Amino acid sequence: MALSQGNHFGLLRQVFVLLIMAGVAAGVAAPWTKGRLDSAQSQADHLAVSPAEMLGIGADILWVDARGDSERSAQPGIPGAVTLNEDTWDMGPLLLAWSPARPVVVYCGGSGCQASRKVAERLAREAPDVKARYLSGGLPAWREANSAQGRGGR
Amino acid sequence: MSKTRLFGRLLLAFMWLWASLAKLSDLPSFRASIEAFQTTSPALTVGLSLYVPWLELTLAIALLTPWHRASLLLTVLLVSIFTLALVVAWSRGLDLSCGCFGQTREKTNFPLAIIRNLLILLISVPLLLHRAPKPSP
Repeated sequence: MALSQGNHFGLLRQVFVLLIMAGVAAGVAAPWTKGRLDSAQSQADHLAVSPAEMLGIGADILWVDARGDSERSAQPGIPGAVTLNEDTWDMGPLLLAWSPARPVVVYCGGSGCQASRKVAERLAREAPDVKARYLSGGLPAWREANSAQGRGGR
Repeated sequence: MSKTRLFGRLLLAFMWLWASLAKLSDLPSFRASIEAFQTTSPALTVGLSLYVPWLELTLAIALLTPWHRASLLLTVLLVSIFTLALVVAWSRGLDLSCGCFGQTREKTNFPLAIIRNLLILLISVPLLLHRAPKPSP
């Protein structure tokens, strides 16, 4: 491919202009988008439960599995957990198992999954009495915390 | 202009439009997706989550204009970076939702996501390298 230097320069100039245009658009929208990010972050921080905090809550946690069908069939979850995910939103099983004394913690498959946060946020809107929170780190964090506790208990 | 090349550009424009609107409609999830890669500082994560969707939207629009080659060049660069990030995350054994096209409920299937990105490159690189023949005098 033989491009003249003038063509190269023109192309790079256009690339630079496109990058700047995207920056201007992001800057103009920033007051709105940044506000949304900040308020979502503060809500997520409020709802999150760390693995250490989870161990402190005790054994009577009502676990909610927010994973989709394919993930659940591929990997077993926490024993006794009820299923609630955004694909098939049905709070029936959760409300049957719930009592005000039982803390509700939602989890999903990995440290980067977001289904648990979304389900906890939706529960906060639709069933605020449940006071659902979500587990940071998901199922791997639960396994790690339990095995660490098991080792510590020996 | 060949209809195939026009179709390729329209396909890429639709892809960027979809990716940007999906991210803009749920920015907190996109930020969480970037965080899950565990490679950026908190400030850079916020910066990227505010900038990348708009860059994608700009690329979608530019693909339909005479500046489409610049958009194609950025498409190749951006998709290559995304692919590298996926490869690194996969090699580190991270479980994450990449948020590439807004889907954040299921964990990313790394081989599929990488193959998808390679297909995007397979479309965009030939479009970028193609030069229209100069009209004969």
